[in-house]
Parts: sequence; C-alpha cells; structure tokens
Amino acid sequence: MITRVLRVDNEQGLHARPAAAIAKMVSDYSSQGSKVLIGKSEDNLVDASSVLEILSLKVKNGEDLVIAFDETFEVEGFLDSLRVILSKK
Amino acid sequence: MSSAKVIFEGQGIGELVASGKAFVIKDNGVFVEKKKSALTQTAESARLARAITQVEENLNQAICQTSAETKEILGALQALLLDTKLQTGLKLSIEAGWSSESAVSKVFADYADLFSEMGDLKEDFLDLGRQIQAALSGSAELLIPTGDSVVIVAKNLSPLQMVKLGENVVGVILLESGPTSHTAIICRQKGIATLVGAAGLLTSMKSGDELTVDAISGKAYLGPPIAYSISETARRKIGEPLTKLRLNIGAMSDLKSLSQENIDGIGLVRTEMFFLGAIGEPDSVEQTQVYETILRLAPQGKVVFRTFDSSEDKALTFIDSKNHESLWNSSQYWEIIDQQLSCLALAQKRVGREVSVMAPMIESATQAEQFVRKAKAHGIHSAGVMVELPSLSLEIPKLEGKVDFLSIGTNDLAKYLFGLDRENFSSSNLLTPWHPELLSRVKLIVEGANSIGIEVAICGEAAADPLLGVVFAGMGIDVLSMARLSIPRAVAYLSSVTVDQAKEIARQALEQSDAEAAKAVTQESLGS
Repeated sequence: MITRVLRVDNEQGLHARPAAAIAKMVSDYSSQGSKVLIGKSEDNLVDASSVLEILSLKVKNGEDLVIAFDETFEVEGFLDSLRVILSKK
Repeated sequence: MSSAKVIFEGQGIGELVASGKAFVIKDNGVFVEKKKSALTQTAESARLARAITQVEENLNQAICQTSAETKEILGALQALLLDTKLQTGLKLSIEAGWSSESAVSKVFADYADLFSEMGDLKEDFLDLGRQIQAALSGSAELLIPTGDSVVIVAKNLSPLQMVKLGENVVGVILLESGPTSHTAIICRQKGIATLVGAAGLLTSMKSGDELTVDAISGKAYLGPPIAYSISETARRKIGEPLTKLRLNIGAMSDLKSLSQENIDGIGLVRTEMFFLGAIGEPDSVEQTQVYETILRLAPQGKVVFRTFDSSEDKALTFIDSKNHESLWNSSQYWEIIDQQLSCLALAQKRVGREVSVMAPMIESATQAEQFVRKAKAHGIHSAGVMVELPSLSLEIPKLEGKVDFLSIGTNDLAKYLFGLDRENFSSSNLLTPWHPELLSRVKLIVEGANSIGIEVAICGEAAADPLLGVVFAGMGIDVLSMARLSIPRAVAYLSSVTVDQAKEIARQALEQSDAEAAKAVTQESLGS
C-alpha cells in the first residue's frame, strides 16, 4: 500500500461535512474493489468509505492524517480533491 | 398581564395573540425500545429497509429545495444514514432477533457517543434515528395533533415544515430563527402568532398545556389570553384608512373566506411560494393555471404578481440562487422570467382581468427599464419593480416615465443597507424596521416616487405593523400590503388619525436617534 500524509486545515477539525465528502469520494473511487484507509497514524487506520469511522478518529485542526491506498488507485487526482476537502472551512 | 406567568420572551411576529395546546418538539435522544421482532428476519429487515429509504427520500426532497450550504449539511446526514458501518450494525441487530425499532435505538445510541464532543452533530445524528423510528411507525412528518388549536414550541422549524403546518396551528415559539427569516415570514403569512429567538426553557411546560402566544408584546404565558386594555376595535374611527390596503399572498388558502371590505386587491403574490415543492421549473400549463386561479379568486383591485424570487432559505430548485443579488445577471433567470411573463399574460387574457407584475432584487434604473420593457412586450401593461436594494433606492427620480409603480421590500432593504444576515437574530437591533436610517431611506424612496407621480407601496413585513403603517402614511405612501390577518388592525390605526397627524407622527419618528425611541414616540402619539 502507498501512504501519504496530509494536514487538516479546518477550525472545526474533520467534522461531518468533510467526513461525508471523503467517504463519498472514496466510494466513488473504489468502485473496482480498491480500498482506502485513513487514520492519525499508520498503526491505527480505519475504512475511509465510512463517515462514522472517519468521525471516530476525532481529527482536530492542524493534525496530520495518514492515508493509505492500493497501487491501483489514481493517487494524485484523489489527493488533490482530498486537499481541497481538508482545507475547506 | 400581571397574573400570567411569562415563560418565553422573544421577538413577536404577526401582531397577533393566539392560544392553544402546547406541542413541544424536544430533541432529546432516540426513543428507547427493547423488543424482539415478531416477524421473520427477512420481513423485519425489509421493514427497516423501507423506513430507511423513506428517510433517505425525505432528505433527497429537502436537498432539492434548499441552498448550497444546507444541501451540503443534508448530504452529510444522508451519508451518515447510509453509512456502511451503521447499516452493518443494524443488520447484525436484526439478525440477533431484535425489532427494527430496537435495532435503531441500540445502534444509534452506540454511535452517538462518537459525537459527544461535536456539538449539534450528535443531535442531528440522533434525529436521523428518530426519523427512522417515525417512518417505522408510519409517521415520517412532524406528528402535530390535528383538531384543537395547537401552539408549537421548538428550537427551529424549516420553511418547508412551516409550509406544511395544518390550519389548527395558531402559534409558534422558536428558540432560534430571526424576525425576518423566511420561517418567520411564512408564520406571518399563515396568520400564526409567532415568537422567534425566544428565551425560555422547553421544560417549563409540557405538551397539552394551554399556552398563549402574544406576538404583540413578544411574550408567551401559560393559560388563556389576557385581554389588552385597548382593543383594536376600540380605536376611535375618524375617517377612511389613510392608505390603500392590499393583501400579500403565498398560498391559495390566503384567498379563502375573505371579506372584501377595506381590501384593494393583492399587493404581493409571492409566486415562488406556489411552486415550493416543485422539482425543476414549473411548466407553463401548471403556472398558467395557478395564475388564473389567483386572478379569479382575488378581491377587487390591482393584482400584483412578483416574478420568482429566490434566496438562501427559500431556494427554488430551478433557479441557481447562490448569488441572490445578481439574479438579473443570469441569462437563465431571464429565460425563466420570460416564460413566467408569458404565462401571466395568458392568464390575464383567459380571465379578462388585468395583471400587474413587479420584479424583485432590481439593482438599477436601467435594469428596471429592461424588465418593464420585457413585461410590456408580453402584453402586461402594468409593470413595476421592488425597491429593496440600496443602489436602486438612490435612483428613483431616474425611473420617471419608465415604470408604473414601486413596491418597497423593507426586509431586504434593511438587510442590504446594514449588510446583515436575515437569519441572524443577534442583529435584530438593526433589522427592526424602526431603525431611523431605514425610515429615512423609505422616506427618500416615497418622496422620489411622489415627485415622478407613480404609486408607491410597502409590501415588506413592516407594512403589517399598524404603528409603522401610520408613520409610512405620514411619509406619503400610497399602499400598504400585508397578510390578511393584519388588515383589521391596520384599518383601525389608519382610520384613527388625520393626514396631518400622521405627517407629524412620521416627522417625530424620523427625528429620533434610535429604533426604540422612534417606536416609543409613535406609541405615545397614538396612545397605544
């Protein structure tokens, strides 16, 4: 799996709207059975297609987020969209 | 009022007093149930799936009818509802033999802890669970008792929920929401005594208690209404009302059982309200039928249709309303208006009664002229514009010979003059129509209209306040347009003073340094 680290830039942290947007994007991207995991550290990753799982991370503003995905994934496009979501107020 | 215990205080909407049985909409957790299913596992999961689909559809419908930001919030709720983990949890509970209700209460309670530090989100999440449970019991909508008069007490209600309230809802107390929010406007429109931004505790009464909402003094108390010392009919009538009075309407029911007395037609048909539930642009057959019906039912006098207005909290799906102010810069809006004008012209022809049209959110004299020319090209000969943007308010003399009438929208005018958010009740001090800056702006518009010899009306919420009505009459306004239930009070006040007295009252109000003083001095002059 490939991993990347992104920082959350949103005063409210990773709240419902960005979490829902991430989950939706993951479901859209992973239609071919690819998997995306997300977490505060590599040893604590959850399924990024579930809003509830993402919210359970309780990620706060300024914290780093580890994203892990299969090689099959179109990483760059996904990461660009993810950056937009994480910095949206 | 001395003997009644006041339990809520807020900003009154509607100039009305009403009482009924309290119906409290508390948002306190999922209804807990622990019951084994009486159905087969397959039947039980199908039952739950149906309920979830129903909630999803309700959300979808709401998403279609709201603005971009609300859409995003509802979209997030929908994602939570359909979340794979949540669904798995529900499935496991059903497999363990629990009823759908029990599965929902268990799974939502488990996950609710996740949201403990996330404020409103926990409530929103639990509310999803409540909605599923309501759908399971066959009652997805607000379960408001029918029959007896009801006063609803809630944190807030959406415009859509408001639109759907039954006729027995006579009062509404909202802990949130602002005086010029669309929820508040719909309350006034429906003749519901309303308090917004109300301070008080939901626990200070329970559903079924008799509750009186006094929107005039901004208070609610337990028990039946206590009479005022000066009743509206007790005012001494010295002549005819100083201005023409017209109706604002937003639903066919506003035209039911009207007494024609003192009503000079309709000053504002909020056309968009007739198509609130519509997904996509209403087709021309449907539009023409609605306009025809209005023309046939309307009391004698002018009938002024305002073309579709769209803003943040009453967005129409067919108008991209992200930029409320620049409606007229969108070619899509011009196309929609073109079709609307042709439907109005057709209705005019079929009924054989003259239609008047006016355009909302006009920015400049040039734009006003453009609209009027378009209306006339369709065969609508009486065409005017709303003055609700400060930019247009400065250009009134330029409208000479170009528009047939003006109508002032005080809410939007205040909003744009002071740069405020209509939903934001903490800015209520500036949003009151009594603000001297707003009053003098209205005076400027009225004087401009009088100097170029065209009719000028006020159809904003301020027109319904009888005290302000006298002030406006004193400024030289020709028409006040308001919800039906506000008319008797307006008539009583506007017939109790002479033109000269009204002029003096207006002069005094304009001289004051703040809204409170302006209101107080008017109250004193009118002895109320």
